[in-house]
Amino acid sequence: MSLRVLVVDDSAIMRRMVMRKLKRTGLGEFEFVEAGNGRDALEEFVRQAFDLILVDWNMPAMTGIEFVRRLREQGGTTPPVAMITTEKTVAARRQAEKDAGVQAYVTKPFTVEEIKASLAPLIERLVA
Amino acid sequence: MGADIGPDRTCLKHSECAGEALTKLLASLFESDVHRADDSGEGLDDGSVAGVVSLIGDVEWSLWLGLPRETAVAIASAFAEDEIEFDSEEMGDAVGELTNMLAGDLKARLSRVDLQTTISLPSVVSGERLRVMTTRDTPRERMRFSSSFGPLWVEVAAGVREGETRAAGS
Repeated sequence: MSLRVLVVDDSAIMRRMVMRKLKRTGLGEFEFVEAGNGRDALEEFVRQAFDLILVDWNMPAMTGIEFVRRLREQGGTTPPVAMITTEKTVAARRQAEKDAGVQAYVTKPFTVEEIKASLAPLIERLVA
Repeated sequence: MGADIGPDRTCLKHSECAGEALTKLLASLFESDVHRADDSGEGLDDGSVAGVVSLIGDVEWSLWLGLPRETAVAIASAFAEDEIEFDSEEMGDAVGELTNMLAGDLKARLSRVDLQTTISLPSVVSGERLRVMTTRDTPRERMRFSSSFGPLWVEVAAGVREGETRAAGS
């Protein structure tokens, strides 16, 4: 079973790194769709269904958390969302983001093992 | 003439964190050793690509990551796991991301000494023999390093003293 993943990051290099390393985790087969900003990502979300969304926190125009909030505002079933961030845990912020719908974090820079550890719980629930 | 006291450098008290953050970043991304190099030699800079980001809050810093051409190509290509040309948009992308990660680690280090900051979006500049120019009284700390990719440097320029905030309109 192939999981369709939406990768949202203004950096093309980071999108490729996320996709490359996620493939190497062995957590499953993935089909990726890329978006370079939150607006394009919301349009993709309307066009097709996704099993998982990975979104960068620090983007111009629309931050990752703004994207997550707008995603939820669209209503309906939304897939699990993991936030990619350079910033280490800030407890107060993380709670607000969890309340908004972020279910996992991947902290840059990350190894294959680290992205696997961050996303395995989400992905294992999806393929179960 | 009185003695030239020079700029107040108390706002750079924790700037060595930037060098520590760079060392950790290259080790974790590439398992590359980084060593402090000779800090002598002001004058024209040898960086050809530089990323810059601001950290604002309990400190007010500009953080620079400078890479000479050969170092930039080597690091960006290793980062992308693909050949990156110096004059490509991908070079800006790679250096911006590296600067962003550097700032993220630096932010975490500052927070461990109770200094909270917010990071700006990074910008990247490129050209031959870039020169970072600040006003003469701006406290700056440049740290030069050698790595398996080549030489590189980080610089912290400080706007205000730690714990102080800039007055509105100034």
